Amino acid sequence: MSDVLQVKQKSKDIRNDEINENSTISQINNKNRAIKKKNGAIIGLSIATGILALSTIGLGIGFGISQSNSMNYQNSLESVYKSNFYSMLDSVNNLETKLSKTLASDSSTYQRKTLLEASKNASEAEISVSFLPLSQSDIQDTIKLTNQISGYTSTLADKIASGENLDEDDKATLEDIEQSIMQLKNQLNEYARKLNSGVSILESSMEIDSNSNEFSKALSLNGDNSIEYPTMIYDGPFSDSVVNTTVKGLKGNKITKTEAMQDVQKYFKEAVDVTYESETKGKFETYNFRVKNSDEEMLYVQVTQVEGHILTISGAGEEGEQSIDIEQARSIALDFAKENGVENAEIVWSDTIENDVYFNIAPLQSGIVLYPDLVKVKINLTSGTIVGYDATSYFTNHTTRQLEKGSLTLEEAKAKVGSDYTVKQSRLVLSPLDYNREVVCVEVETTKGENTYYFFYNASSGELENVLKVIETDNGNLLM
Amino acid sequence: MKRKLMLLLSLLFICCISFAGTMATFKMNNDYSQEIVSTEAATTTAENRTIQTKLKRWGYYNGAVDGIYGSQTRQAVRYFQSKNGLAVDGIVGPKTAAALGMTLSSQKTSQSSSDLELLAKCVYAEARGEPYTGQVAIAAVVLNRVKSSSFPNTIAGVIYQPYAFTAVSDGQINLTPNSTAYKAAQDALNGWDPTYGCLYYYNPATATSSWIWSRQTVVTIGNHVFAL
Repeated sequence: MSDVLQVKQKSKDIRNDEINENSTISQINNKNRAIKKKNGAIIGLSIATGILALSTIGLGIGFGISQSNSMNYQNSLESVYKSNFYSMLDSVNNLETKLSKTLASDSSTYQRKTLLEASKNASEAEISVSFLPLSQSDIQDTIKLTNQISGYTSTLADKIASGENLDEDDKATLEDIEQSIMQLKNQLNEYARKLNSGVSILESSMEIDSNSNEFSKALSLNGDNSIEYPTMIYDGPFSDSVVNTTVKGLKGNKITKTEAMQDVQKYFKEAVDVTYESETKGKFETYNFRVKNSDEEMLYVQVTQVEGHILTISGAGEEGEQSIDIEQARSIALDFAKENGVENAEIVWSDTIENDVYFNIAPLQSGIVLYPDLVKVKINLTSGTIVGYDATSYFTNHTTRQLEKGSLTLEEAKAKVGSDYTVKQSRLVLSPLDYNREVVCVEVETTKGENTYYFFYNASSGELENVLKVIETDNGNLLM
Repeated sequence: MKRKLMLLLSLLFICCISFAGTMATFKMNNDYSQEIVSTEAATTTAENRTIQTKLKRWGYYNGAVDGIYGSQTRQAVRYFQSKNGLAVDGIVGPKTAAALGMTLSSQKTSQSSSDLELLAKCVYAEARGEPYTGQVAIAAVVLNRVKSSSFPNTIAGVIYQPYAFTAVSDGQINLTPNSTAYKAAQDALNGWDPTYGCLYYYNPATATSSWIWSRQTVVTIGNHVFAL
């Protein structure tokens, strides 16, 4: 640096002899500063370039990592999809074999075995297919088919177990099912061949338009050669008859919106505000209201259009110090149910979750507890008011029934329970069993160790129909 | 020169910002991840004896096997935790107990209400801004799907079904639900269904699928239309 300066200084001296010393020095200083500035700029520039280069490299590396990460994610997802696709293919192949074997056999023991296996295969196929990336509209019939086949075949197996044989109708339905499953199997195998030639499920599934989406075509029943949906008539899991239940408990006249509003105002005398919200169409037709009890408490109330009963109330209860105890809550719940047309009823189950008590209230008919007609009430212990009510089961099922009390006495039923269970009490109940079947039973409440069990014995035949175990969970009790 | 420098500096600045931005995007996936809260568990005298015996056998503890969880035992537990990649807190919680090969009595044998948890998460993620009934209705739709033949047959199966819920694909399902969401889920599990069997719902303001519009609508609650 100083050499350069001297050289520059000399050249300056040669050119400008007249310039006096002082001014020369100041000029030199100025030049000096300018040069320093220039050098600073060069250093700054190189640092900046360096950082720029580094950050570009960093960005590149980051991008690279993310790309490879996302490739890994894609690959693992593709493997999950493939594994489920091949599982489904296996299950459908097996299902088809089991159905053919059932039809080929004339031994009822063997038919029962293959039907149970078919039911298992169908349910496995359903589980696999529900993991695949397909939209609900494409896949729902396939899920329904596998679910219904599973329910239908297990119902047939039960029929054989109870001593009956498969009739011609059953066999005809099984043949229809076999046909549909064969077509589905062919579609799936065709797609499996595509997978082998390198097609990816993930990429196929990105094809949103289902007309060009090979994958959804392979799994859907309405693909290129649409598969005929077999009709399965049975009372069992997933049968259509279970879904299409009708309302038995409402038969009177329709009321108007204004009348419904008056009813709501009558029930909620202390409400600050009642506003009409909307109408519900469907199984139950209702007028819906918003009831404001206080700033914290807002309820949603549905009133049936036929007969004008309160059908449901829902609201989140308040939190804070309890103003009533459980006994008081019990009478509030029973009074409300009674006021609303549920008479001659008693509380059959209660559970407290934080600040809310849930009561199940069942009506009685000649001393028999009608479990199918349960009304559920939720009382908030802080506000001391009803924050939940559900009478849908009641209005769906409640009618005056012809009930046979049977020959099994309460004492006989108690004696049937194993000796390691401590019997607490027993009573006559109408128990809802699988798929719209109602049976008069003797209910025996027992405990074993810390667990509570309920046994249900058929009051006519004395056979054990059901066992319920109370399962304590982190949030209240469950009946299983 | 100065201008060039400024230009360079601002370029550098933009570079840094974009770099940070990209990094942030890489990290985005974790935004909804949950915090794991460790819980302190008290151990019984019998359990303390087991802990002391095990630690003594493995050379972490030199004191007496007396069932008293004193400072020496605590020290030994810390030592054991640090050697085994556990959180070093000197407390035998579920994880440390598992590493010791024992089960604590305080670990509840009662069934976890995972169904309630999942349902509450779904309610919170899908409908936290909705009125209470709207939240019960979302949980009821999930349960109606479980019962329906056209959908998977478990709560988890329904919630995690591909393309079924947007909250699952965008990760909001992992948010921690509030108490209202739990209450709504609980009510639905207890049988409340303000939709009477609906299987679908959509927000008419944002729904894009033309297929969903063809379903028979039953009721509108808050911003959601519920349909069969």
